Amino acid sequence: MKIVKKQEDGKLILALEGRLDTVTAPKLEEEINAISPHLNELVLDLADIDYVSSAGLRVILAAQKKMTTQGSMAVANVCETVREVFDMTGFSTILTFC
Amino acid sequence: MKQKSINRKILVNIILVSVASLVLLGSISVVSVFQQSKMSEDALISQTKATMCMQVVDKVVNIDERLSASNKKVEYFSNFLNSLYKEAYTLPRITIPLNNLEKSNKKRLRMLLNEDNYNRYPQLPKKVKSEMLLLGNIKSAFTSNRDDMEDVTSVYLASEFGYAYMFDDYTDTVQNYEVTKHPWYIAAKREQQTFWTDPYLDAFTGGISLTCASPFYDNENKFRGVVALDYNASKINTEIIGVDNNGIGYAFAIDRSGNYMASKDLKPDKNGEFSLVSAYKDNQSEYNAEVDSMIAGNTDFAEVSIDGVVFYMAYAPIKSTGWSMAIVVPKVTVIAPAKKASEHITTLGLGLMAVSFIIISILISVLSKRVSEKISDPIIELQEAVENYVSGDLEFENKISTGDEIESLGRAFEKASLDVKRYIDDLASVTAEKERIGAELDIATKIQRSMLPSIFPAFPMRDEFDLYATMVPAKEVGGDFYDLFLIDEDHLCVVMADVSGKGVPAALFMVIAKTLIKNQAQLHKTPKEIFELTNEQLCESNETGMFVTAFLGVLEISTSSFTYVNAGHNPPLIKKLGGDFEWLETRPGFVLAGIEGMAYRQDEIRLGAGDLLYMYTDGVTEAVNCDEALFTEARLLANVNQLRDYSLRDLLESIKRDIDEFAGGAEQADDITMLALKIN
Repeated sequence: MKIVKKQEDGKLILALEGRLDTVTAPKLEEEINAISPHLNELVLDLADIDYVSSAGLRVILAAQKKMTTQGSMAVANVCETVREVFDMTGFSTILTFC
Repeated sequence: MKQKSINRKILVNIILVSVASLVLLGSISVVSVFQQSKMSEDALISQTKATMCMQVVDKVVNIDERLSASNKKVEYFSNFLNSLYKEAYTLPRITIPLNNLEKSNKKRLRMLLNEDNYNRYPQLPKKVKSEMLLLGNIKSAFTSNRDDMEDVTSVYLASEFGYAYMFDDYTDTVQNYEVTKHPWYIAAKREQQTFWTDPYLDAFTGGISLTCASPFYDNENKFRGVVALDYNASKINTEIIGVDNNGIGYAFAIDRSGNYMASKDLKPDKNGEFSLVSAYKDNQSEYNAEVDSMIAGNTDFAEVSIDGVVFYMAYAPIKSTGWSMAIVVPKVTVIAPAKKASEHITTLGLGLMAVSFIIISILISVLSKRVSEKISDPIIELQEAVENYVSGDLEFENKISTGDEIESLGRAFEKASLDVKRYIDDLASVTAEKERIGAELDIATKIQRSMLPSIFPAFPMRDEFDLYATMVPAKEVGGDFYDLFLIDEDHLCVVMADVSGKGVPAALFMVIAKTLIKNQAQLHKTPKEIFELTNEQLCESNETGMFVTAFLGVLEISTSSFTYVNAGHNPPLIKKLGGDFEWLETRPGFVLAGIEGMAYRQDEIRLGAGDLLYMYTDGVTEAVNCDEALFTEARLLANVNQLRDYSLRDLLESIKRDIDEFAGGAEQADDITMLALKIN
């Protein structure tokens, strides 16, 4: 999985590419942990993510929890299969899509 | 062999350096000894040169002074005679007695006549007689001043008229005397100045004599005769010969013709007479050239070879007589002390050097052996210790205390060996620990599996329904679980869940989740309440951010009503009697343990006999093959529809087989967990 970081006035966009699973999730988790406490807005661009496993979901949930305390988080460009996973796991109910 | 070579290398190097230093030092010493002796030789030579030159000049000046006293005397007489002519009228007439042949013991003034005058005496021409009487006034001059004329044996005047006045103690053998025909007379007349004759053998004294002659003139400056004195050169001769430079050389003087005037070679013959000897030597051109230079009146110092022997020669002219005096010293005697000293030094020095060379060599051999052993022994010791270490003896202890790099090396190696030993121990314990953990994980897996109901039929007494469930764990202990239990006689609860993550944390979380769910269920809560309460409890202590997706259904056996709730889990497949499998309609809520205060919605369907529910975890649909392709829900649906008439056990095993077939040996990351419920 590849992670491309983009900073846009107080907004951090993490564009992910590949599979977000047990193997790659720790990488994203590192990025999430490294987020400055002053960041207001985080966007996870999942345009090039075609699979999210439960480990991936865990990191997304962790990011969501972290950003809830200091701002907001949104997921963008969620493809159909990933959307299905979000729907099935109830993540759709807690995530903000944009 | 190697340890020997280090030893030898050090030994050889020390010896080489030492011997080289010795040789170098020795060479320097030898060279400086020779230099020293050469320098002392040179110093001796220049000292000798200075001494010889000084001696000869000193002597020559002294002799010259004495001879020039005679010179002055003669000239005084000449002037005196001249004044007699000038003052002839005022002077008395003095008769000098004629010579007789009697012997005399003391000097007396007498007159000698030539043959002509003698024959006509006393009838002499008037002018002759007149001059005789005038010149008789010389008497006072001749007879006084005796003291300062020590070496003067005779003073006399000879008149051109053929007579002479002589003041001496000679005894003549003849009466007549050809005064004007003597060489000194002719020479003085010719030279018109004071003139020293070459030495000659004096008939009266028997020794070497010189005559100093000066012409005298009358008041009209007309030559009237010669006044002269005889000088006994024996004294000068002896003095010159006496200059022998402490016996290591000799001196001589030569006259204008190169004849010895004074020399040890000048000896009287058996008749007691001297014969003139030339200073020139046959076939000694080098020496003869110096004799020439002496005659030419030069002052010089020369190194000449006479018959192959080298001599130093210093000479200077005796100006008043035109002679030259020389001092000759053989070179070998001059440099003898230096030679002797240098030979002494050389012999002694070389001897000493040879002896010290041998002693130092022995010392160096012994010392360098000890030094090299001192250096190499610890190295050898260390090497042996290291070899022991390498061959398996891990107990390395540094015993070297040389206080240098070798000790540091030993200590470093000791530390390294200790570190290695500790590392090996650590590794062993870590490995043991790992094995232990592995074993414990194995046990954990077994425990986890044993927590899942695995004995079927699970409820042999109940024939209203069939149940079958399997779980194939992935390599690591995973987080899938299922549960099936009777809440009471009429209520059957089935649970299918998947804890996010892997390993022991997931397994532990699974145990908690499973226990909480079962607890809530047994408290007769509704499925919705079970999940909401479980969610709250799981959220309370969930620092790792794990969550559980779960599906729970409660079958009321008496009514076949199935109430279910979904917390983010894969929806089960349901097959109505005679129909195809299809996804059970669920309204999934959020995963358990994700966020506190989540509400869940439950649904209820009524099942009929023959209806079948198939629950699973994403380990089924997300099984991967070697190309990382997923098994997918679609493939699952298609497969189960083909297996619809199978018994529950066959159904699940067939699906597992299909998955294995699809995976083609690819290792699965997730547990594969399935549960089937069929209403009879």
